[in-house]
Amino acid sequence: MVKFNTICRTGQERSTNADITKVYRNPNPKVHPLAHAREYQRALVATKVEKIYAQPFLGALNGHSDGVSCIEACRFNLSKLVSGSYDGEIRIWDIPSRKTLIQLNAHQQMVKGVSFSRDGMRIVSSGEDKTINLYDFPQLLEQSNNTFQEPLMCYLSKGTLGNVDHNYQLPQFATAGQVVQVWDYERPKAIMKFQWGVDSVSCVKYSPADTNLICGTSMDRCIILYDVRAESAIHKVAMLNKSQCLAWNPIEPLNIVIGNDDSNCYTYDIRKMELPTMIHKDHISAVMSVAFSSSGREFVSGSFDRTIRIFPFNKGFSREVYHGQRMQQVNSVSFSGDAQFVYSGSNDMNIRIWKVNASQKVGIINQRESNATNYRHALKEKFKYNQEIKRIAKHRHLPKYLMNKKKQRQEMKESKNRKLKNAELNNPGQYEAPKPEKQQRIEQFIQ
Amino acid sequence: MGKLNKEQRLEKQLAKKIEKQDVYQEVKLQEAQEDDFNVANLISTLEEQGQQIDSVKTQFLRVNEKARIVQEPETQAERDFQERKVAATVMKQDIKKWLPIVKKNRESERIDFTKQRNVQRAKISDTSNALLNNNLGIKLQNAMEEVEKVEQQQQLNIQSNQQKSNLQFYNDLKMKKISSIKSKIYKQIKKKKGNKEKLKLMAQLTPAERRKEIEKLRLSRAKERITLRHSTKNKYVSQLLRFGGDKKSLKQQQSFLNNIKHQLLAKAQLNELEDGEFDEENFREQAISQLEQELQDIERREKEKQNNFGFLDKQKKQDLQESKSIAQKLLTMLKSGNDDAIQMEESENQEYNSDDNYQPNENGNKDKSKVVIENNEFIGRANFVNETKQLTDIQKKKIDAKTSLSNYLNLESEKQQQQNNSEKQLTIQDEKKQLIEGLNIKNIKQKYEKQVNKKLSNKELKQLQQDPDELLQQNLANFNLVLDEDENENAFIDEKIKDMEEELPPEPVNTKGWGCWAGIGIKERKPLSQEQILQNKIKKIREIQKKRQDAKLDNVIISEKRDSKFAKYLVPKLPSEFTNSEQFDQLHTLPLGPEWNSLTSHQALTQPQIITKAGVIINPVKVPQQINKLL
Repeated sequence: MVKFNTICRTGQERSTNADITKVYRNPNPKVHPLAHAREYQRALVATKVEKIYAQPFLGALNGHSDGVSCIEACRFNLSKLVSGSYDGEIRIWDIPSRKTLIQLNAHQQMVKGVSFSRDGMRIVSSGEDKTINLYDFPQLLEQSNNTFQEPLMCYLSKGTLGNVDHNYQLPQFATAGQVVQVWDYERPKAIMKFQWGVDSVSCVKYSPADTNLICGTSMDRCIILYDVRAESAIHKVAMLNKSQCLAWNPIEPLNIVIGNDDSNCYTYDIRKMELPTMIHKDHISAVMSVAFSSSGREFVSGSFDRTIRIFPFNKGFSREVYHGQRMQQVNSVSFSGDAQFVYSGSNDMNIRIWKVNASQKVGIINQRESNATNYRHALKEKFKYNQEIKRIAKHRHLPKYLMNKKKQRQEMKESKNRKLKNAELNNPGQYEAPKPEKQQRIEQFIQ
Repeated sequence: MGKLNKEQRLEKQLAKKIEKQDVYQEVKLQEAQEDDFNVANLISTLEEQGQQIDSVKTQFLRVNEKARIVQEPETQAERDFQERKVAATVMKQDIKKWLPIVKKNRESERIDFTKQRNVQRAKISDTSNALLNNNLGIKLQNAMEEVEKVEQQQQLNIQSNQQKSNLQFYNDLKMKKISSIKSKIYKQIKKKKGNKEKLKLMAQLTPAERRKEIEKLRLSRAKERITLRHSTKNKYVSQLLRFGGDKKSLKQQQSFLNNIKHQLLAKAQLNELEDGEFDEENFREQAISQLEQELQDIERREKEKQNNFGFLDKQKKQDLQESKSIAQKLLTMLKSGNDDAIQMEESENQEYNSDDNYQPNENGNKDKSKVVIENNEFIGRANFVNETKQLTDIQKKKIDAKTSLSNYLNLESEKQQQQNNSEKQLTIQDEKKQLIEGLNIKNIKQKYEKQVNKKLSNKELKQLQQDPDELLQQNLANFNLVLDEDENENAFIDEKIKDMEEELPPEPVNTKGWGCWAGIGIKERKPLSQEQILQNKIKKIREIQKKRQDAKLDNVIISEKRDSKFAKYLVPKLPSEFTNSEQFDQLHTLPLGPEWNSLTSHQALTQPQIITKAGVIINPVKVPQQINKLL
């Protein structure tokens, strides 16, 4: 006899796909009278949570023995960064491990500027000793221990030099200085020279999208636009204060942002340089460096007031302030290629890494998590006009010296306005309406 | 000898000097005569004197001829300025290629940088909304007709077109062959020919014109220097750069135009009256067609089955007949073209416009009831208009009723006055009066004063004294028809004042001796008279009134009470990004959460505007390949 053991199932017990009960919801808003209140509460919680989890500082790269004068992130590789310091040293960093890959005693004096080529294979540096060095990156990696490696090419400039910027397409780079020069890899002398006026140019940048255009800021308070195809410049604007830095918008190649010594940043449309299209205020002292995010929607600025600020490209005030107790004047800032991180080189010999969104999680994020964060962001966006949410979202802790200075500035501004008003009231018909602020900052437009 | 020689020499030198001076004076005289100093004049004068200066003359002529071709030397500053000018224009033209990309980026709801694709170009249909204008609509219609004509012609003349195309092909080949000749001599000859022609032209021009020509030449040279490569600038490319799209076929054009035309028509139908552009003839035609349709409807309804209830049928019949008769009258009037008829028409049409999507009824039982109601209204209004024109007895009665009622009310208040003590100087009326003065409502004030000052005739007074209630009841029925503005306005003012009184702080209880100093030698303070209290009150109310939002609005009361519970959900001020509150409210109409949306729509609603991903490098923008090839 053989015994069979069987499992018996009745039809009711067995679960199938058809058994899943669907929940039908009524979308009629009259059935959900509390939807608005619930979403408001969620938005409030989201803003508070964001504040709690805001930890923008990721780490520092230390190794330089003098203040960091210039940095630039690699345009091809997300993990590489070049920096130059006041003692003429150049370091190339590996960001994930936070270590120096290569250390070079490149210049005898301060390093004025460093730049990566688009493919990440070449590095150009300019120094105060009137030399420009061109390095081959793979070759440097081979002899990473040798600090006195010879460059691939060394160019000598007749005049003093400013920063250097590599072309985004061609094997060319431009240097600022007494004369704006365009250099080729193969030629020992500059292939093009631009000079307009007597004073030297402090900063020069290629347009990433339209590589024929170069913009520069000069020491005689001018912003000059050059076309490489032409033998001379296009036009320039003289402002009330000197500007030290500029950045091109890579997504909208019509716009440039300029960091001025009057502690403001200015957006210009290069077609109409007569007036700035926007003034970005918040810094307290001179803006030393600006860099555009590769998404073209934000830019970062480092200032002499020891802070970094992130501005939306179309807003007058900053979205975020970063500062550290030990961070000194910020000389240079740079955005990572994926628009996720900001690097800052400061006078305290350190390079710092910051998150662009302070509360964003670093690492792998699964779908559910990203959906939830998206929902939270959407809610914040929806309720951003409500006073309570606005207050919480806007609040940033600032050091005392910044707060005091800010208050002082506000008082000065108010008293000035009051004075103007009183003058108008007491002498009717004699006072003309004051010029708009954008016009006040511009001295002259020269064609 | 030597001395003599010296003297002779001196004499000779003097003679030469004198000669030179003479010649110079002559030349100067000539200059004075002609008012113009030229080398040519000098040469001519010298020739007249008989001097041999052939070599100088030939040299002068050669130089003169060359000057026409060779430009005057320009300074470095001038040259730089010109180059900058050209560079600016070239840059501005060149940079236009980015505009469609930038525009698209700015307008798009979200940009996904994780996909690493070039940003799409703007489509033409995106701009269609911006082009909505009535004038444009008409132009587009004309353009449409032309396009259609062209298409028709093309269809008809296929054969002739073929012949033409063959000819064109032959011509093209010929031109290609000619242009392919690249021998140096040919080009040199061509250049020389061109130069000669230019010289001829230049010789004819005046110096000022010539200078202009030369400037033009310089600019073109500077442009060549800068651009180096000669980019194509045909219509196709310019269109591509402007719209970022391919060259449109005729059909595409037509569909585009059709689209705009429909939009325009839809908009025009809604806004025609509001714009104030009023075509009488159009209107008349429309009205006639509508009336005819109505008549047809009425006839159809008469034929239909009757209800079971007799009285309902009777009423329906009456209504229909009345409406029919009026419609017929109107039709005749319209066709004859009287001005009065048009006025009537207007009133009718305003009715129609109150319903935005009015369409003449065609079928369905539901619509019939609507029509009946509309017809009744229509009849009522028509009657009213007729009556007001003729000023019937009934209307006069109505007006009488209005005056009599107001007078009656005033009389009552007068009686109250008499009853009150004679000591009180300020009555209720005066109080009101003062408050109204504070309110600055001119119109209302004037009306109110009229009422107070009006005196009744003896007859009316007698009547009122005898039986005021009867007179009231008689006229009350008609009274509702006439809008008694004065009465409403008075009530409104009372309400407004009451509202302000409520805001006053509570008065302290007037207990004797409380809050005063006591002791020997101190005079007892007199309590305030009622007059003073009233005046104080009025003062306070005026102060409150100034602070209120509705201070300058005569016919509005704005309630400024706010429930603190809801305050957190509300915004104190309309954000500057919005133009009106409705726009802002639309933000909050749609909940975003998964509880109130399906999962897919929830995700779509909450997606961020700019999507980036850690590890994906975002490259700078590129010009789309299609455009890049052509540049």
